[in-house]
Amino acid sequence: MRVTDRLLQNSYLYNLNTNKNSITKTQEQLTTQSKINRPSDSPLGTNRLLRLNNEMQNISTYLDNVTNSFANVDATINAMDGIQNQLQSVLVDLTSVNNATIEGNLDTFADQLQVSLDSILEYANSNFNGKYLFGGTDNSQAPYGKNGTPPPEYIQNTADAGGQQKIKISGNISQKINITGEELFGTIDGTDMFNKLNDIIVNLRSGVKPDASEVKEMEDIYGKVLNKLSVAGNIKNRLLDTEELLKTQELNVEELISKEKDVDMARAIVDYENQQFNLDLTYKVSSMILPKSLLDYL
Amino acid sequence: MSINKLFDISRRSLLTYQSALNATSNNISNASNPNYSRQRVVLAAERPEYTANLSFGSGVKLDDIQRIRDTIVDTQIWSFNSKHSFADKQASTLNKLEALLSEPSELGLSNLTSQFFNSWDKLAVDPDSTALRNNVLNTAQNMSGKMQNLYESYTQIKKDLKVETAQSVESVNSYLEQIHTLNKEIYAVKASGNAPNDLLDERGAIINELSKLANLNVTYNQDDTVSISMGGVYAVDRLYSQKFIVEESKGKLSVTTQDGESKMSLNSGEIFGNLNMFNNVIPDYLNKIDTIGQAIYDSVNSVHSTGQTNTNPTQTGVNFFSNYSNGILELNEDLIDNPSLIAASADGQDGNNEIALQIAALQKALLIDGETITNTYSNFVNKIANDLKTHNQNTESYQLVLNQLDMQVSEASGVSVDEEMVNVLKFQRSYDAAAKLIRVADEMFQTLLNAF
Repeated sequence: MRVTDRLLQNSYLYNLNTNKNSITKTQEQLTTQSKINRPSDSPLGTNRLLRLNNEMQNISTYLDNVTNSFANVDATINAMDGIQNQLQSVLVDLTSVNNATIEGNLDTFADQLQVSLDSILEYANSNFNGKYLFGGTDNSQAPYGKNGTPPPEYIQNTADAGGQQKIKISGNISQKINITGEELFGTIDGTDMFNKLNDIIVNLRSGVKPDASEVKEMEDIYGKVLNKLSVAGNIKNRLLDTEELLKTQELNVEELISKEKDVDMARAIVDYENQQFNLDLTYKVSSMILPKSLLDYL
Repeated sequence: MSINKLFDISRRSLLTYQSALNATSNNISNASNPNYSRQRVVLAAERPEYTANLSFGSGVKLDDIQRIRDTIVDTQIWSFNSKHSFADKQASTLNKLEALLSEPSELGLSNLTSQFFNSWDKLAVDPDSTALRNNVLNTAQNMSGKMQNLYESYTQIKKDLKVETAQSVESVNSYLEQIHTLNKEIYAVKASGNAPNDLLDERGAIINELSKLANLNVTYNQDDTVSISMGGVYAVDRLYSQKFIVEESKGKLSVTTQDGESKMSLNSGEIFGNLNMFNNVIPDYLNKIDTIGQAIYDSVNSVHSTGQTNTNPTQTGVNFFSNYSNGILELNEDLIDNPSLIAASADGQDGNNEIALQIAALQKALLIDGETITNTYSNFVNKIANDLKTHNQNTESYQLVLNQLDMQVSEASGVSVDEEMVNVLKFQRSYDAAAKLIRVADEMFQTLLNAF
């Protein structure tokens, strides 16, 4: 093959350019620490990355939702605890009243029971962060109140206290995080907790002791509250478990993203040094060959 | 046979080797001219003198100065030039398009759309909160801003391509005219019996440039003039050179002759790359963005208008987006002024979050041809990435072929300074020898003269 100056020069320039191209690419990877800096670096990898990033966003949101709901659930449990304590002291009082050995002013008992009833009403209307905890999804006003005109004296102020508040904790799962007034207190129509207790108080004030069936009804109501308390506890546990699960998922997705994207620094640095060495070598060799011609020796 | 013959031969040698040195010096001075084909000196023996029984040679003559050029390799180079430019031009345009996507970073449309739908999920936890409502509006504005940016930039690039194509066609016209002029000159020089070497080099260089713009078909005529047709349309020969213009009809570009009679049907070259982008590729991408925007508009509005706002009294039938056209998703202005108009509730109660949950669930809904919005967008990005990768690889592989072909051309037509220097020495020594001969002949003559 007849070798001309042009051939040598073009060949040298092309190889130099190729070297520089690979150095530039390695440099970019080293500085951004990412293998995929634009979609065309790896179309398949980009596809996976977009999907993984999307999942990351979603898991993040679900975690946010769960964390923000803890406060609500805790407040609900506290309020229900309070109601349960009050009901317990009500039951103790009722037993004392019917105990023949204790003679006391029925009025005193009535007062104690009234205090308990007012407390329970207070708890039923608890407000947390601008929401009525047992008002379902209606936060316009306190759900329970004393209208004053009997019967029944205690009524539900809002039209519907049964709204369920659900939050998304996973792709297809919505979790109910509130205990509605409807499931805790039932319909306020005279056979509910407030009015029954009110009836007992009114009777006591007029000197009538509560009979066995009324005490039984209060015990049933107490049992129902305990039941709902454990439901609330379950919700809290469910949220805690979900939080753990989501955190693990988050780590997993992060790992997958890292596998797609991250540069193996050790390998990249070795590649970089290798390419720099090649570049140096190209320069050196060409500087030995290119300038020479017959003219140097004539 | 006389001493005159000696003078004669020497004189002829001197002149011949002087001319040979001229040709060699021409080669040396053009050593780094990329379009130059070396010219080789062909020496031949002069017609001998025939006497009774002996024939005496009459010296050397310069037979021909040959231009060494392989026209077959030239044709191949022109073909690959246009293929290379076709891939290269598309790759560079796609590069611009890809850069505008800002993927796979946080600023890309994929992330922003995801954030928009997730903001509804967050709102569902506390539907009353003004902060969360403002968050929804914020993410919506980010998403629609990016989509608008993308759509408008792509449209702008498409317009720029039209201007570029017009400029390229102007270049084509100018090259064709130059070739036409050269054809005429070459014909004239050939007719007067000379070899138009430099003109042929010049014409070759121009055809080289032309081949990058569009695919050519070159035919060499008997008289060394050249006839070229581009994309099936007759472009230039000795007598005639065509002018082309760019025409747009029904939103598609094409290159036609100035009188509008014939249309170029190209299959490679820079111009065809631009035409392909303008007519097919970019409209396809714009269409995909449009589909995504339309789907978001339709689906979010249809759910949102069934919801009840947080105002007092509650309203229903409120649209979240007020308008969608050409990549611009317009947010309902009333919502920005009064975030309580965002309808998160299904039954009017301010703690109810069903509508918010439904809108958030749209992210996973199969809205476009049985695919989710995320998947459709993901496929769109994938297509651009794959197209770009293909064109980049093609460019590289064609470049390698062109390098090889260039090496072949260099091998045949390149100037090697070493070789020319050796020729210089050769011709110079011959010149010296011839000069010496003249001196010897002169001395012999003197001897003859002085004898009498």
